[in-house]
Amino acid sequence: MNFVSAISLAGPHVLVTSTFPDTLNRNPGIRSDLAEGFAELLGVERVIQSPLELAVSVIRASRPDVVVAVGSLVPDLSDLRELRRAADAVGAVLIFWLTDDPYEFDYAFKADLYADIVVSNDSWAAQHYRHPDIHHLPLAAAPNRHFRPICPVAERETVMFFCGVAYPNRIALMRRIDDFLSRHVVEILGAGWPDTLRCAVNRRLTPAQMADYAAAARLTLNIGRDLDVANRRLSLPQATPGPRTFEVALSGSTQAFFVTGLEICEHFEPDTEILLVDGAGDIARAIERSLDEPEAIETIARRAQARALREHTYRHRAARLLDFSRLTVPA
Amino acid sequence: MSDLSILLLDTEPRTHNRYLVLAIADALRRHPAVRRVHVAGHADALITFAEQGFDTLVAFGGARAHAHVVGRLAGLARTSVLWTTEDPYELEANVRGAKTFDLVFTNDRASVPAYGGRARHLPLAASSIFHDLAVLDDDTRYRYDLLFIGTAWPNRVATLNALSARLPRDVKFKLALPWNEHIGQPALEDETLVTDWRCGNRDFALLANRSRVVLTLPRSFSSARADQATGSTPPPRLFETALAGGYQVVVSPEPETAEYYAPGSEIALCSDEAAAIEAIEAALTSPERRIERARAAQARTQAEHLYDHRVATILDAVVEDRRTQTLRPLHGTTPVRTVLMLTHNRMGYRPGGGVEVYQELLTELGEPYRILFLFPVVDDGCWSLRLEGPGIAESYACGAVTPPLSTDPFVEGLFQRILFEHQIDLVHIHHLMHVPLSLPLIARACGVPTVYHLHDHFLICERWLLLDHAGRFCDVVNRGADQCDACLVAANNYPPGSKARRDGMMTLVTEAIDAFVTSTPKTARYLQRFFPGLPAERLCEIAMVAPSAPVPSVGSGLKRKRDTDRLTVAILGNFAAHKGGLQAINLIRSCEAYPIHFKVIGRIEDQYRDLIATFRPDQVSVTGSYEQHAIGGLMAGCDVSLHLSTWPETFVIALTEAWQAGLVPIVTDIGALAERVQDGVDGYKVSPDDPGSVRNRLIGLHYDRARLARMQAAIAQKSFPSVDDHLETVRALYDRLIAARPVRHNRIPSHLRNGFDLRLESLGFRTNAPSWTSAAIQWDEAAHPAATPLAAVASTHVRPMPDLPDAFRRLPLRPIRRSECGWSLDVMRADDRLNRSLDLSPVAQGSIFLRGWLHISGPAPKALYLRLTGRCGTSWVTLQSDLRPDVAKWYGEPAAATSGFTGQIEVAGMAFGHYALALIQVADHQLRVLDDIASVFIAPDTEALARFVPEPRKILNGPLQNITLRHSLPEDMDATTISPGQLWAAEVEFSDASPRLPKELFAVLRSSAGEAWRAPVLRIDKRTVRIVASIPNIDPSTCTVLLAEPHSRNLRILATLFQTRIAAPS
Repeated sequence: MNFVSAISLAGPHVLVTSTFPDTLNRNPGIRSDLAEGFAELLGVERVIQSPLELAVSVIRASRPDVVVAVGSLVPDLSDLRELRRAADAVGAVLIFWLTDDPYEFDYAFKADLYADIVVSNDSWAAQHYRHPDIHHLPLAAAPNRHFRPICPVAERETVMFFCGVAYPNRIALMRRIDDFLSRHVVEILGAGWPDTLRCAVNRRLTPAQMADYAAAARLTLNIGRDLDVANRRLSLPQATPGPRTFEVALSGSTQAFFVTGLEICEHFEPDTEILLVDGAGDIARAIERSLDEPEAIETIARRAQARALREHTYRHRAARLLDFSRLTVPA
Repeated sequence: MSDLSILLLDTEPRTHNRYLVLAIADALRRHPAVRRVHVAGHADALITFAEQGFDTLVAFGGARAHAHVVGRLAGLARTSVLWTTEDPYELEANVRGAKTFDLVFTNDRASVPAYGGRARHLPLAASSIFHDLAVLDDDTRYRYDLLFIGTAWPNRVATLNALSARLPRDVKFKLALPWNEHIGQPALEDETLVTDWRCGNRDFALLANRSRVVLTLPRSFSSARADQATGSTPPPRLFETALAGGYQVVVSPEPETAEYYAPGSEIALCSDEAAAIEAIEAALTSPERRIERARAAQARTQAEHLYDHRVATILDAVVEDRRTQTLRPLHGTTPVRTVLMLTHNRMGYRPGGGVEVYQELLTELGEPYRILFLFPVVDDGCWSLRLEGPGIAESYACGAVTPPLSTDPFVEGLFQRILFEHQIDLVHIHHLMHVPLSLPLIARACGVPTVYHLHDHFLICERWLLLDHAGRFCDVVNRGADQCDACLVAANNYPPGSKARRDGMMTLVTEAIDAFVTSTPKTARYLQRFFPGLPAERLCEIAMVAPSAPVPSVGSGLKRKRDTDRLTVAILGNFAAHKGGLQAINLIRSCEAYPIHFKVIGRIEDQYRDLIATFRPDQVSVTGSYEQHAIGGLMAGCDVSLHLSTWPETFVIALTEAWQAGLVPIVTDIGALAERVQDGVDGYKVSPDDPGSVRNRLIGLHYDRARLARMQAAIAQKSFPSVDDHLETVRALYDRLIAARPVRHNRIPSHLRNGFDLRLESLGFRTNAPSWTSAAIQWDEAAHPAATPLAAVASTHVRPMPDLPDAFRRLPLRPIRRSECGWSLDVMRADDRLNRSLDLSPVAQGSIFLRGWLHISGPAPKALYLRLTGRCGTSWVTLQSDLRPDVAKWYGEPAAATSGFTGQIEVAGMAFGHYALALIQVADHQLRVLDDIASVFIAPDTEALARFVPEPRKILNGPLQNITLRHSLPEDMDATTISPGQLWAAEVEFSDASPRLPKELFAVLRSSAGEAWRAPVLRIDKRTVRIVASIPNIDPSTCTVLLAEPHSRNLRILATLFQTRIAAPS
């Protein structure tokens, strides 16, 4: 385990990589976003990003002070041992920012083996790590990918937008509001939706399209995931809102956030920055309000976007990661 | 006073309520009597307790789960405390297991009497780190009117429906009603409510804090026994809600609830729904009074019902126990110390080498040490663990042979049982080959110290000699692992990623081992460079010893008869490729002009026998295999020895023996050989694969006899550890490890004959799949409960059809290219035997089992079939779909979850012979065909496997017959090597011109060394016979396979079927 002894006054050199190979990585965008967040803080010349496959050679060549590996600990084929050895060889601090808690918590033991500092995306999961240097840090949004100028809500044709994988909890909720949504212009997209849902269409979107769709919708529905990959030991429920919460805020859409916990209130102020919903009735009321009071909904979207820009971009997360490594740089 | 060192263990490794332990640990840390607290897991509880000098155990949960480990832990503690959480539901097991503990606390007051005076009542509580939230003064800041979070028991759902119907319509409910298949989905009348969600305990507290009323409803277990009492003490939710500032309305409260909170002023207790409705309405209409009561309940909690209070009760009892406790005698230190040698083989089973010889030497350690051996035995495609020792000879069937495993729950449980039942004090691992890699972790969890003997480099690589697929030394530590995938794909057919998966598992394994015994410093350093986390103090150098004492007449330099006209060179040990066999052959050839004689002392691998036979007798003499005690005599008259290993050896006993015989060794400059020899002083070093340098050294020594004599004189001065010295050092190591962590054997509850169920997962570790050679990633819902051997997965058999169903028969065929799809055949078993080599077709007599996936972008398949194409036609089998969320995840396409398939195919009635297998997906109005996914040899309707037995009779040439042969081995036999244990099926059809088949007919295997084995054949008709047999355990050789009949007192050959090479057993 290493801690940086001497960092130049200009700040540390950072390598951002992944905890698993890009052949399995369906969301390498987080790595790029975080690298850009670090670059905003430290300058592009101090930040490198690399897939895990190349990380060892990049570490040897560039000798960073901090290595941040982002992602999942599930795949056993990830050669984290070599990553650790490479970090040791150059005296770099190795941080794992784990982005799939609590759904993959059974593999948390790997963090104990290899990381100097462990950062979990989920606050409740973070409580359960045994690592002595464990922190909580939610995911975030990237202005260059997720920001969209806010257009008048009154002019938005789509009343409600949602895009995601049809996890059972999402299907159950959609079934309850299917009739209602089918009477409005909605975009319920994603993959795995059953044919019996009238409101939903199986169509995948790129991240850029997601931002565009959100920006064009009066409301974006936010329903968390409830599908475990490897969470049978402690069956930890999720506590921290997922990254979509921050991304949609940056895209300028007001969110109807289904409540399974109240940590959301730490990130966005209920009613003024986000709408909290608890059932079909709340969603119906939110839609009606978006039609009746578009200015109020637009105000919420503007406040949420401002809050996200102020607190929830990867630049802010990068600053926290440096705090955790005792290399604080003002965000 | 702060002198207690407490180890806190959640007795349930798999729990939804781990936060309770975190809360208790927090309270313990703040108590003034506590110096330190460690929250342990099952992987490290015993070892941490012993090594870090804890004195108090708090076992939280129950006495049922992993009772052996917890009982052993209690035996180590000066004071052991059990605090149960599941009484009265697990009362029986808890009462039984509680006898192991000094102090017992039960969560349920009504259960106290069952413990016969040994238990005190201690309810659960609330935690200041999770639940302490300020009560909201402003009623408008509350978000919900009514909160209920709890399992959807039918009685609760009925009450919620009643409340919903009778409370005002604007009351805002927040409900979470998790359900399972046994109780069914909750049928709420208000369909707008979304109840299928869950939250952590901290979120529960936040929601309670923001709810005007928090409802508590009774739980009724539909499966509870009629005679089983319900609990009298409320669950922790009561205290947690109060501390979170929630106002509680409790329906049908437990009898004791009113003792914890005052009804009316702190909490509302309601006997039925009507009273509950009244209380809820009152709370909603009189917010000031409600908030005041919530505040009062919170204050009561802070004063009486925190874990700090519960911990204080426990620690008062611990201190009192200490005050009155007489010094406990050391339990379980028995005069006998039992060491389990975990190894890959033992003398008398498969052919072996130095490791097998050395292991036996350790049986001479003497008292107090009792030595047991545990090793795998493979027979007929299945394997078992064999336990041997004084008065012990047991075998435990472990199912079909599998690819190398990281974990196998069945074997892990068996290993735990052996450790406990045979009172093992220490495990000495000589090899982990053929057993799950997890076993050292199980030993550690049981508190048993482990020693790993570095006989080779198995911890670093599956190719334990560090020779790559081309037979070259792979310096993996220095060159990195970039080549590893390619090597393992080429050499072992393991998929990419296998090395990283294995290394990850080995990182855990090496952390679990207490001492690594190395014969030379560099072997250990190499390991340490590969696993940099290994502390140096765990590396223990004990020079290997030659098991036989040197022959005095040789070792003492007494007069020996040496030929001064020629140089005699001993080639010691196995003459094999990794021992530099090819280099030695080339060397001998290059020295033919010189008076240099080579004496081959040891077993010669088959591939070199013919080559060595081509040399003149004055060039080469061969002694063959030898008994260990004879080695000194065999080296008499030799001047020089050769040790030309191509891999980094870890010691080489033969080098010691050569020195002891006064020989000058020439060794390769690699591994322990290089470490041990001082170039030009007591031997010479040459580069591997450099016979020219060896030749120069030999010629030099031949012509410079003075130098030879000087070096021999230097060698005579060398001293070597004796067997006694070696055993003494090993004994000292064992003594040290056992003294640091003595295992208390007699603290195990005698009634616990079962319950040996430690698993890798119980220890807090998990792997993507049981075998590190598998690329599959098992998800939670996809994993099978594997308490039985992995082979024993039942499935429904399906029979092949002559054609596809009408609906699909006429659809166009579209061949799928490998590049446009993803697929994997994860498992293929023939008659429950796993197919390990994709080069060879498995032989199936009864059934074939397949599991895998095929993903092609586009419409999801409507149906999936397996096509079997053989000599006599094509058959079709419907495959079942198998949900594969792992595939879906990595493709990022939920549709890919439908790519999985599985099928168990009954082969009875099919034609005998080879079949090519193809996968057929029905999709998009076409048949998508992926050809040649595997092949299988079907040998239906044959009897049980035939056995080859040694055939002592002479085998004579007979009247050769014309035959047609069909068999399961590849046609190009020159390129194929078969292994003992491998199945072979053949059908021989004699031509019409042949005479009638004899009454008795045998299949005969005849080795190039002249040995023979026979097996009976099955007569199919008057011209056809078949055989299905496993290849017997024959030394590597070239074999001819024949059909023969008895003739006089001999056998007479009727047909020669083919020749093949028999490899060493895999």
